[in-house]
Amino acid sequence: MAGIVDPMNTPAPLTQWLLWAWLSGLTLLAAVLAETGQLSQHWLAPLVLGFAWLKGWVVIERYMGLRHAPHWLRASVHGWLLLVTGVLLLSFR
Amino acid sequence: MSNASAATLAAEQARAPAQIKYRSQAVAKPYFMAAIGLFIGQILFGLIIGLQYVKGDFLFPAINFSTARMVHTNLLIVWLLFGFMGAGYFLIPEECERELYSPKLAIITFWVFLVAGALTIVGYLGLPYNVLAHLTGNDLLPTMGRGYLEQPLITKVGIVLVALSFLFNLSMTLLSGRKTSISIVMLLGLWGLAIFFLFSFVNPSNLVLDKYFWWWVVHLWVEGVWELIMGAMLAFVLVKVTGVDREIIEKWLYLIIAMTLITGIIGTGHHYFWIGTPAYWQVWGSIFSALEPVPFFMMTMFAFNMVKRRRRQHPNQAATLWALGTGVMSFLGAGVWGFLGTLSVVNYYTHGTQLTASHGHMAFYGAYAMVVLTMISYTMPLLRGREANSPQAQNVEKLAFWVMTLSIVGITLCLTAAGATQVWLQRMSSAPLSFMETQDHIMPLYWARLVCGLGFFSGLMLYLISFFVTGKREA
Amino acid sequence: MPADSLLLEDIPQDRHVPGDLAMWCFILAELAVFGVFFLVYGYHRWRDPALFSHGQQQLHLLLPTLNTLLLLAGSAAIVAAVRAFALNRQRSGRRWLMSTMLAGGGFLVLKAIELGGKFAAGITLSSGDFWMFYLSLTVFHFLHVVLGMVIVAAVWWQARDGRYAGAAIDGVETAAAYWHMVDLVWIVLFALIYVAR
Repeated sequence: MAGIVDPMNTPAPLTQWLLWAWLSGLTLLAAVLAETGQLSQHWLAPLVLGFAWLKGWVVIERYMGLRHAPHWLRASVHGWLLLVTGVLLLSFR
Repeated sequence: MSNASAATLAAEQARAPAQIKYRSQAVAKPYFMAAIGLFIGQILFGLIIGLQYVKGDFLFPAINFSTARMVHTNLLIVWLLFGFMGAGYFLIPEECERELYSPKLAIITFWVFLVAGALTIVGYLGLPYNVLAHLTGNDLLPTMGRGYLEQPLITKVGIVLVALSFLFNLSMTLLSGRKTSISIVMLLGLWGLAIFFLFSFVNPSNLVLDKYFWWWVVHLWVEGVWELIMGAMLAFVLVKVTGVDREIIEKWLYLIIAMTLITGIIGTGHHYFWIGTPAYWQVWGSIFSALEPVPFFMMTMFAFNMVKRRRRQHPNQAATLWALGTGVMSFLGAGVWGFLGTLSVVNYYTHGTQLTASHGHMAFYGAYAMVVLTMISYTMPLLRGREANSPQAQNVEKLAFWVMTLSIVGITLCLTAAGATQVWLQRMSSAPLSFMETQDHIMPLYWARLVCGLGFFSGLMLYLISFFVTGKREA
Repeated sequence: MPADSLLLEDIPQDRHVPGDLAMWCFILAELAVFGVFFLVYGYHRWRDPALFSHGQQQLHLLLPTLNTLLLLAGSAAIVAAVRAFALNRQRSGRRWLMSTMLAGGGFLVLKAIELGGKFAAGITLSSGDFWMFYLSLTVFHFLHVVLGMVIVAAVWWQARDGRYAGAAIDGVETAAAYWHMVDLVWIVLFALIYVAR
């Protein structure tokens, strides 16, 4: 049937809260690290880009729900995220 | 395909219309005939300038290079406009499922446009350009003298009036008829065409600003609103010849126009690299135009997927061939060859070389000439009272397709090689040659281009002949 | 059938494309545009790290951090909306869609304040490479948030007419996919422009 979605494909309420808390927590942590200036740029950039990758991974897998999607689609979006964060990592020297 | 839809299809085919559905669609016919006539004129002048490249004094002083070039490019625009208008007059009634608002107005508009166009060409050829400018009121509001927009003020005003009458006619038809995505996109494109043409009246004395707004006509036409027209025309023909669900074709159409607008509008920046505009255009222009091939690539995928998944075998195979050809050649000409010059770091070396000319030839032919020919190929048999031409006539038309297309590929490759030579000898070399010395090195390529041009002309003649081949009609 | 909506190659039925395949093509194209933009940014930063660091130091983190939280909350809300509609809980689904729009609206307001401050300080596209990228990327993304809100609003409107009853929720999934894309791009943008300095 057209467009029927198995509710099991979407995260359960508790999982949703955990995902949200995890994403928001990483955001706040990145902001605090940058603001306090404890870390040199040498460490800060890789760390926050790593956070961005972690957050993006969650968005792609769980929010977009691509872990249930055809492999080419899942791989394209993950590939995009890896390429972008990877190359940007190299741009900090 | 389910049994039920197969049965519907069979029934549809049984009462397949052997001619046009609405009588007023017939007004498209003179438009298409004029388009083909002007197309022939365009190619003749193309041959003249092709020859002048190698024999500089050919036809001098009767027709000098700049005049012949102006006629070549202006005829191109005018015949494409005739093609778009014919397509509009055919497509809109059919999509709206009603007669045209005013067929009489459409015919009057046709004659006004044709006579104005012809007089303008006569003016170009018969008078020195400055005299023409003086006689036609250029002193009141200077608009002349810029590429593609060389028309005298009177002609420009005439074009606006013709466009308004055309749009009024089609919009009134659409307003009281069925509204489909195809007809709405088509009309959006045509309205955009008219609106951006208004910038041809903007002619600041500051040369930077002059060029800046000039591109609002030229670029936002061919890499903006014309792509909407092209997408709608292609979608219309594909719905007809493949029988694929309209819903699917419309989704493709939306996808293509979304990408066109996202990349094309800011992509204007690739014309703003070294002309005195702010530096951020180098980044904007490069990034957005790097993605301009995407909508053209989608167009290719679109055409091939729809034909591959077709649900009927339409007898007009020539039209299908033209549709597929449009998909491929527009991607190559507009997408790939366009991309060659749009990154600012590359453009620094290639700006204003024959590479630009190579892109121009393949893009205009592959995207706009071919989509108009696709439309003519599909509609002309219907306008002449049959679903498709005889197999013999179609074979001649297909041969013409291949001769013209391969010739344009030849022209493009010659000019690409010429451009590469220019870049190498004149710009990158440690001991750069002067412009004219470089031209001497390119001469053999100009000869080869002229030969390809003759090939194109013979293809065009074959195309013309295909309209007069009778042969046994397919049952 | 959603997966078949563009008549591309057959997609195996055990994998589920979330929403309309046409939207996913569009999303991939949008990611490509942003991707190229990021890579060009990276190239310019690599060539002149001092200039970019200096510019980044002048950005305050409060508003962009709040904005990130808002976009994430909007994403979380639209996930809840998809699930609610899948379970045919119409009222709850509509409320979650409304929450996404509120989060998006908040983002736009804060972003407008931030950009307004920059314009008031006389920063333009010609104030150097960093500011050019800063303004281009954030404004371009801003426009995408606006488009995302339009899409979500359209779905909310249709949901009011019971369009997504009976768990036929293609449209909701399609809108959610676009919203998540806007969020995903912002996550990278936030790290790149504001935090990694």
